[in-house]
Amino acid sequence: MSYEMVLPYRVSDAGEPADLPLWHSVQQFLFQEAALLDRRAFAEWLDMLDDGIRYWAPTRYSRTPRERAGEWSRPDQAAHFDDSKQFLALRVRRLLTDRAWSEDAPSRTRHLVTNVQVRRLADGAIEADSNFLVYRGRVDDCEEIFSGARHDRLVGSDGPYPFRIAERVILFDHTMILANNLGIFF
Amino acid sequence: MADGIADMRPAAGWIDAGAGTIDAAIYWDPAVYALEQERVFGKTWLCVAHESLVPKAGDFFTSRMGEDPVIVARQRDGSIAVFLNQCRHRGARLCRADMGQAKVFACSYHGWTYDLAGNLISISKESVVDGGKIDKTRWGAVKVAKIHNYHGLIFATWNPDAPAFDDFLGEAKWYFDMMFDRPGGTEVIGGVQKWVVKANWKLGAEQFTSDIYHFDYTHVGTSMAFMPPDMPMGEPPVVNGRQFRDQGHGGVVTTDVQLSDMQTAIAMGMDVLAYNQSRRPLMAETLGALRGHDAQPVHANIFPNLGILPLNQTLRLWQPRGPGEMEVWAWTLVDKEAPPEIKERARLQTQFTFASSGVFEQDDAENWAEVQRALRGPMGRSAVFNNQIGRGESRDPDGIFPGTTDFAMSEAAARGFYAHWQKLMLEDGQ
Repeated sequence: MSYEMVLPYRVSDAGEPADLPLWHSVQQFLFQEAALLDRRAFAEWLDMLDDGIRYWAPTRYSRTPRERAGEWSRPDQAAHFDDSKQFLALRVRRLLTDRAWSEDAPSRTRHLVTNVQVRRLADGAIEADSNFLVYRGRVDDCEEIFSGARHDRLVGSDGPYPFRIAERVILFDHTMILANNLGIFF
Repeated sequence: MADGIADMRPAAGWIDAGAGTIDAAIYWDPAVYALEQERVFGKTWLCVAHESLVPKAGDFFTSRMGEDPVIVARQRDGSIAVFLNQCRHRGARLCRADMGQAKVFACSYHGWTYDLAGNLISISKESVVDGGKIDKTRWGAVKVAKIHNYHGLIFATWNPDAPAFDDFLGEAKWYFDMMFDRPGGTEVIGGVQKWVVKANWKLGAEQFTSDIYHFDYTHVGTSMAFMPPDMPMGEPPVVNGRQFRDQGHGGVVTTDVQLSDMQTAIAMGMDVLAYNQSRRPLMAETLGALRGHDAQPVHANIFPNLGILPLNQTLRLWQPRGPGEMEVWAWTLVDKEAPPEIKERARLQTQFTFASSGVFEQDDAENWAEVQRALRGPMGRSAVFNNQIGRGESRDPDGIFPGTTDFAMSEAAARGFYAHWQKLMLEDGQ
C-alpha cells in the first residue's frame, strides 16, 4: 500500500547518470524526433526505431487506496498501443495512402519534450525518461492536449542518428482518452 | 419528460422504417436524449460487464447503465450484484475506482457503508446522530430489477417487467450463440480501454448492427496498407452472407468461410486463425455444422449498445455521454481455454486494429464525428437521412439461415434498430 506510483516497467538499478555530452546528444535526439513527428516525416521517423522495438502505452485506472499498485495495466493486459516495428510501419504506410480519412486533413501536432533524464546502463544501453505535452489540432474545431511521460531504452547506432529507440513506454496522464482516436505518435 | 413528447416528435415519428428515413433530431436534441435515457436505457437489458472482470468474491467493476453509474460486484456465493453507484444519504458516488477488490463500499461524504450487494450496513456515528431510527433495509443502494449471465456477459435492467433474457434476444439468439457459446467459455483480456468520440452513441451502435456497406470505403486506406505494395487495388470482394435482425439487434454471418479466414489471417494473424479453425469441430458439436464451421459471424450489435466484432475479437459498449458524445469502452474477447500465446496474439492484433489507436477504428470515429459536426445549424439539424439501402427481404431465399434476414449489405437491420428504439421511446413508461 504505497502512495507513490508503482511504475508499469522495471527500473534497472545498475546504471549511472549520463555525463553532459551524452545527456546533450540524447536530448538532441529526442528533439529531432519531435521535429520529425511534427513535420509528418514519418518514414524518416521509422529510421529512429530499432527493429525490435516495443512501443507500449498501457491503460491507466483510478484505483482504491489499497490497490494503487494497479494504476497501470500489466504488460499482458489492455493497452492503447502495443506495437512492434512492423505495426508502426503499417500505421505509417496507412497514412501515406492518402486514404486514411481520420488523418485527412492531417493532425497538426506540436510535441513539447522536457525533463529529459538520461542514464547509462551496465549493458551499454541508455535509459532516457522525458515528459511530453502534445498539442493536436485537426480541421477547424478539434483541439486536444495529451500529457504524459516516456521511458525509452536507446541503443547506439551507426545510422543517420546516434541512437535507435529499442523500447518506448508511454505513460498517459489520462484514464479515459479524451479524443476520437489516438491517430498520432507520441 | 413524458408531457414534452408530443411537442418534440415530428408528426410521423423520428423514424419511418417503412420509408427508410431518420430524423436528425435523434442525434442532437437534448430533449430526445433525456427521454432516451429513461425509455431506452431505463427500460431495456444492458450489458454492464464480462464476468471475467470480477472473478473472485469482492471483485468489482464500476460500469454504466446509460448515464447512471453502477457497481458490478462478485458476491461471496459466486453470484453477481449490480446496483446504482450512489449513496442514499446525499447521493455521492460510493466508489470512484474503475475496478478492484472491496469488502464494503463506504461513501466518502459521511461514511454510510454498503455491503457487496449494495445493502446499507452502517450509518457512521449512528448513536450520536440518532441514526438508529433509520430503517437500513429501506435505504440500501438502488438495485437493478434483473440480472442475467449470457455466456459470461453480464446484463442487467432497471425494468421489473423487462422480458425474459432469451425473449429479449429473440430470433437473434441463434446468431449471438455463434459468438458467445464457445467451448470452455470466454474471457476478456484484463482492464478496459476507454475513449471519447464526439458523436452520438447510436452512430456506433447502428453501424455494428447493420453496416458492412461502409467497410470498403471508410477503411480503404488501412486495407491498402495491409496489401502487398505491388498488388492492384481492384474491387474488394462482396461478403456473401445473411444479415439477421430482430428487436433492434442485428449483424451479419457469412458462408464464405474462406474469405472470412483470409481476413482473419490478415487482421489477427495465422496462429489465431489456426487456433480458431481447430475449435470448429467442438463448436459444431454444440451448435451444429452450420454454426460450427460452415458459417462465421462478421459483425453484430446487441440492442442498444453492445457492439461485437467476432473476427477481430473485440467487444465494445457505446456509452452515451450527452447527445453529442459517447464513451467507447473496449475489450478483447478470447476463449478461456486458448493457449497463452494465442491470447497474447489476439490482444496485440485487436489493439492494433480495433481500439483507441486501431487502424480500422480510427476511421469509424472520424466519420461519426463528421456526422455530428454537421448537426449544429438549423438546416443540418432539420435533415432527414436516408436509410433505404437493401431490398428488405425477410427470409433467406436459400432456406439456410433462420429468422428474419436480408442480404449482408442491407440496411434492414438499421431500420429495425431505429424502429425498435422508437417503439421504446413512444411507449409510456408506466
